[in-house]
Amino acid sequence: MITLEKVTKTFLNNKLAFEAVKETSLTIEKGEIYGIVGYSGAGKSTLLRLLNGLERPSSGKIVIDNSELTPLSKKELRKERQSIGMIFQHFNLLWSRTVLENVCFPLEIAGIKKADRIERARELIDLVGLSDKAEAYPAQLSGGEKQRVGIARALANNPKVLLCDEATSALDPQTTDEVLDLLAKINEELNVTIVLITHEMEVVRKICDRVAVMNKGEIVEEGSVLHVFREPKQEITKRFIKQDRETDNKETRQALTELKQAYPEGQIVQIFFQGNNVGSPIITRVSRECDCDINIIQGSIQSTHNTPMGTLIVQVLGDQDKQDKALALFKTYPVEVEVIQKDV
Amino acid sequence: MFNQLYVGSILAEYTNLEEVSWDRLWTATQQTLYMTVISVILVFILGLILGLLLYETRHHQTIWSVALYKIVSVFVNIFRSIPFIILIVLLIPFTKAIVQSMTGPSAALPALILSAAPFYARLVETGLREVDKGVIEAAEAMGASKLELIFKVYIPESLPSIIAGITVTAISLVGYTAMAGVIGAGGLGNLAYLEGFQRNRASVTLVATAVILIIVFVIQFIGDRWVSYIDKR
Repeated sequence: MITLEKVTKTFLNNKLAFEAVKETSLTIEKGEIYGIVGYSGAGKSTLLRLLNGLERPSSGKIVIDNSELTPLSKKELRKERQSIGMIFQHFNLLWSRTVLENVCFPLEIAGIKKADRIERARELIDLVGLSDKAEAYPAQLSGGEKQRVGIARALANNPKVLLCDEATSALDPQTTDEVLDLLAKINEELNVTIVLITHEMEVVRKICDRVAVMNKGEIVEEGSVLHVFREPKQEITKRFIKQDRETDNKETRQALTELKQAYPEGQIVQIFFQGNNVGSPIITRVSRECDCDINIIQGSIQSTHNTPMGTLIVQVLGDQDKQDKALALFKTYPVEVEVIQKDV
Repeated sequence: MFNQLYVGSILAEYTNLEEVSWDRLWTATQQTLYMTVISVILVFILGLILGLLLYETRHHQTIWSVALYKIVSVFVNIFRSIPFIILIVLLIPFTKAIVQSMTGPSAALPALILSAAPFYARLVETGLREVDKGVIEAAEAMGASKLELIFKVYIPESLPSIIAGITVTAISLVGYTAMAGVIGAGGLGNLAYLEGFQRNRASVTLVATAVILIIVFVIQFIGDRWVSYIDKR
């Protein structure tokens, strides 16, 4: 669907060349939700803008749905952009237009007749759940509502691709979830390929199928979200994943200290589950077979786009033999086991 | 000494309304309104075009836009800097050539327009610069052409500044018409100068001033109302 071949982008700033995107190749499949994660200045914004020609590449080839962007004239590029929707961190709605008129805007540019424009715009406003706000002005809407308008507007011309530029970064956690759910729904129902850039790993985990980690203009790691989350290779990727678990971790650490005081014996073990294993009764089996008590300290499930991922922190009690046996037994199951605290 | 008699005689001078010829006041008011309305309309059109040109060529991408920006910007700066009373005198030969006359309300128009349009162009440019860059990017991402950008984004999104700008400009144009009046353009300035000053009739000057104030207040009122009606931010 989208292919980048050895694409580079160099900016000239006061005669100093700055390579915002270093030679990058990338393939994004049709119907996929693809995340690009990186800190600010990593080049992800430029990379996203290369996909709709807001930035032209310095070298390399960009193909979207079998049409190559690079050789297009300005006029052809404008035409092409009508089939690529884009939403923004700060929504970028026209304050001078109502919600309905904002959604009509791209349809005007595409030269759709007025009656048809309004009909289509109303459909989209229904889709994003803002039917009662059609006549409101952006200034009267909340952040989440504004982003819904942005999404409706981006979908107006039935795009093949939807580009999301930090679309949830200006929203609170709950609104972020709502907007992400909406994006997932659009991806599923309309089969729109979504490319999103973000600095929040949480966003990637929640809706992306695949992810690329960008650092200093390069994609340093790429793969399915589950894979990257389970086996991050690069230091920067690990940092992003850690940041996603940060809040959980703080509470856990506190719980661990308290538990250590209450039950000074035993071993504390962290178990990662994935997909189908989330449902299997591993804990009770181990407990029964090894004849040891297992105390559950903390458990959490993080949802990813398709499969859940679970983490369980348990305390294995009993004498040393039993503990070792239990640990060995855990490792026979398709879960990841990590002893995070030995006897203290 | 300011004794009561003295104050009384000043008041009597200002309030001696018998000296005011209401016919001539009405004619002068019509002339002032004519000069103001025509020049405001032309200044609005010209200033908007110049403002858009300034804004568009500001980024200096090609040699043409650099040249255009320089030309427009020099033109704007020169005409904005010349004191109006000098400009009107300076333009007399030019005025004669195009209006076929150097007195009367129409003869004031070239100077009024040339001095106010560049001023307004700068106000328009400032207004355009305040348009959210993100919104422009969004419109570009939708495939909007330059013309669509101008008419669907730049102008509507900076309309409050554009209207507030023309209100300020219209008010200074009323002031300019009075100056033009002194050197023969007619209107309320002319009335105040000829009848009020030269014939020493303070009441005429006072009445002319009152009418000018009313015109200015009305313009300000309409401008303010209009801006608050269209500003949905």
